[in-house]
Amino acid sequence: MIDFRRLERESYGVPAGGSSERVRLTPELLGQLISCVLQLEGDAAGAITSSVFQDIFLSPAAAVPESIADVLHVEDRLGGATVEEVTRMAVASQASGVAGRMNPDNVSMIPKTDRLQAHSLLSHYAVRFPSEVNWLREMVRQRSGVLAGL
Amino acid sequence: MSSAESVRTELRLRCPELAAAIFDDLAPDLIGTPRPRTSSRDINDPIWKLFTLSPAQASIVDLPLMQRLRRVRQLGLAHLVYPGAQHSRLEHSIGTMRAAGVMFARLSRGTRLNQREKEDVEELISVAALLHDCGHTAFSHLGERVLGDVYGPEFRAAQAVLQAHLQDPISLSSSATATGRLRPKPVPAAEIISVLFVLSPSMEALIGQLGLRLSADRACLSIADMIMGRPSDICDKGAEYHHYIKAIISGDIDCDKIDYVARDAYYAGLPISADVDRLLSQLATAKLTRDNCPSDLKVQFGAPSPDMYYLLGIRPAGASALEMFVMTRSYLFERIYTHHKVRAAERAMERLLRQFLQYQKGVRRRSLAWCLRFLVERGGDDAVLDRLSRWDEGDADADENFRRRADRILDRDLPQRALALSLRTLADFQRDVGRLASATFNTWSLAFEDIAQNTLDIEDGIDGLLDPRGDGGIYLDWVASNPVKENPDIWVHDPSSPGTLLRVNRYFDVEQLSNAYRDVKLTGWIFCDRERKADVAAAAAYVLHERYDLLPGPEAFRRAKVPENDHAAALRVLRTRIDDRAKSLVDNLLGTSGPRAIKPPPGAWLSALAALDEAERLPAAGKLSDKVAACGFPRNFYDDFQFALVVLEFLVRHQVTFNRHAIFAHSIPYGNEKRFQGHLRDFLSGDKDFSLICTVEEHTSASGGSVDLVVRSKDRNRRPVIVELKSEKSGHEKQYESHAGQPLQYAEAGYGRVTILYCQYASEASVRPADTLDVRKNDADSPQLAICLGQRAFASVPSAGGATTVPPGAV
Repeated sequence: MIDFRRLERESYGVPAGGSSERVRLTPELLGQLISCVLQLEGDAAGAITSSVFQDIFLSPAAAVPESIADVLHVEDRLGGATVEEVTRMAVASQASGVAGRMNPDNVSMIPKTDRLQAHSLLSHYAVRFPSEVNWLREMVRQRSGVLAGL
Repeated sequence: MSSAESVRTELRLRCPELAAAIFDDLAPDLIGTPRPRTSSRDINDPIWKLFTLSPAQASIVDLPLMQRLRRVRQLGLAHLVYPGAQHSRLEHSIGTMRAAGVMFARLSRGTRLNQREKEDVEELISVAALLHDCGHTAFSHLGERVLGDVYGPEFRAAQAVLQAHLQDPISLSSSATATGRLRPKPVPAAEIISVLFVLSPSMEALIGQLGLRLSADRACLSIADMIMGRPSDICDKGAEYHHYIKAIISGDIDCDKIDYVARDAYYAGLPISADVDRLLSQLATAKLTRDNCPSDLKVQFGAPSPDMYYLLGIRPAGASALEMFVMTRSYLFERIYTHHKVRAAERAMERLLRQFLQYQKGVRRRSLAWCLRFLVERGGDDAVLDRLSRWDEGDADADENFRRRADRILDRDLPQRALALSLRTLADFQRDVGRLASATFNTWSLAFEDIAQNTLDIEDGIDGLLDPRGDGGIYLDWVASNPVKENPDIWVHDPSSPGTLLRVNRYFDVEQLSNAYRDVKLTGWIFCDRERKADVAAAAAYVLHERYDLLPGPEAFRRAKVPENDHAAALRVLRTRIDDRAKSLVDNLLGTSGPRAIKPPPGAWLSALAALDEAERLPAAGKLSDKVAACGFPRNFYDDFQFALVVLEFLVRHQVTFNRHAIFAHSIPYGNEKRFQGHLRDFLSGDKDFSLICTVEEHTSASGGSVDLVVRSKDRNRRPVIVELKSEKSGHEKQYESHAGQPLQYAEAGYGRVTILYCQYASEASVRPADTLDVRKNDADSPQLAICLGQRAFASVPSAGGATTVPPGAV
């Protein structure tokens, strides 16, 4: 008997006999994480915008961890380099309930978590992605520090 | 500078199977011996009306490579829902060429290009537009997605070679170099195949005979550049940079979108259409110089960069036409591209193609060339389906599987909706405030990404519940993301301030447009065979409840057109086949055992137990999860429960860090507990993460001699968590029995209904921190949950000669 479900799994690149059970880092997950970090580390109201997402990954000071760089791509536009996946990140953070309002390229999203919930989600994903969550928190702290100094 | 030959050489080296399949097998067959036409040809098209193909353009259209696109539908399987949507990739390719020509003619008027230069560019643009989809396989994007996954390494290697050779010679943004660590955006498989056809020796030979002004080698590279969306060598004219050419080829309103939006709406018969004529008539180049450059543009001026950029612009009077275009595109997403029936058909076809191609690759050991030829065969979509419906290779199992699946698509026997899944279809969604009840927020947020990444496991879970031999008739189609870019690089001259450039989105609210389609875009579907809709709806609800504690509400079934009585009946049948633990989940879904209860899955405990070793963490989470689920607390317990889990996270850190660091040194009443309390309070207060979200204080009003801590959230409306502390020279279980009920005294005092009992205990046996974790339900008028954990301490100071030494600071 041919196991067609196994063939289907293999077609996605899941190794034979392997499991897709563990969550992988994706742009969508990064979107949720950033929204939570912004909520936890500072006043997120008015701060969760796509341009903030861009700043985090494209800031000259950002030594993007390899695991994050692996899932992001850059596009050269007139306004500068743009992270291709930013819209996906924003939409995912909204669809997952972490933030509200659609397509916020030039407007802020509304945080839908309180800080406790944001902490809880981050802690959950930090079990699997500790260095990535720490890096995001550090980048947001640095960014908040710069803004506070302006 | 690369030559076509040098690119081919590297492609043969890095992705040998793909390169050989196209250069040596398919291209000679589908391009063949060049037979250029010498006469032009008129085309009559419903979108662009009557226009003329030049001899060179007509020669390309005549190629078998292009003619086969007559039989590849532009919209894949959408014609199963919209019978008129039969238009082909060939029509679209010709339309795209026409759109590119009109756009270039309009935009180049305002530049200093001379007639000869305009003709050179237009020639190249038109050929690139014609060929941009020549690599599309049967079933368009669906086919390319499957092929790109099954042969991922070959396509990724090809992409790397093309991106290295077809780079932008000048960088428009000064920050681009800083982003070297992120890769350029991925190229879809069909685009890679198109570019490989363009770079093939066969195409080079044909181009050489079309009478283009550029050499065949340079023309092939330029066309490949443009298909990849980076035509910088023809944009760059020294002091002037014609950026609009790039925008025509690959941008927010490029020639591809202009054609497909108008064409898809027309053929689907939708009573809305972009006013393309008006939109194109209002295009005008915007001149960008150092003097009028908006501050948010990162563009460089002066040698070696240009002094002026010509940008894609639109007159203010054209803003409403552009708005209509964006709106039409959004509307098409809702009505066609993400229509539930189209998604169901595509999922069924995708499963068939995945199983078929992986079978050919893995079982039959067939080459990439074989698979590619199968999908780009001249008969297009219908021929591929027809071949699959008659598949007979002597492997009865496989033959029957492919034939059955293909027949069902041919007969339009498509999967039906069984369950709609979104934030808004959950029972816990509060319509009045437009969000989940705060208490259940984390259940959805944690489930969201897990579902997205584990669709196959969930499908199998549903299937296995209904039929252990499940034949894969369940399809989970998760939330489609929104591809509409909301901040387009399209410019308008400010009429009130000549020379000033504004982004076009000053003229209309793109955000509002997209909001209109929010619900549809964010709905995931479970599809299945028509006959078992109610059964699958029930099983899907069960699986989602078990894995994530999601409770699909009536809206989830109503949207899927599953009568509530049917799915309830199916749940009752399901209940008869499962064990007692599972029965309680079904009861919860049915709501027959009182108010619906919380059933937090093991995943909900992971963050709280993060400090434990992984080997301890997972079993402990499973045990605690089962115990809490059995307690039957109402859903509004989640607020208190989640806060308690956050507190528990820090307590487990303390437990693990200081396990066996304490000694029962005090003989005065509560002396050990007071020390324990002080130590824990200092530990929590000193933790930066804890201080960000909580405060901790000693519970001064505690009665009965208990020594407690009160943890308060810095957020609004959360009831404090009581941490009851004990330090006794007895085992942890005995202390749980004696003291877990103690928090009852706080039941009416405004504290949370989930408390934590944290004990220092003595034990001769070696007990792992995870093994001390437990929960106790306190039955009362207002039930409570006590989460218990223990920290092992020394019963007495070890002797100096003993094996154990007292850790520093233990007393």
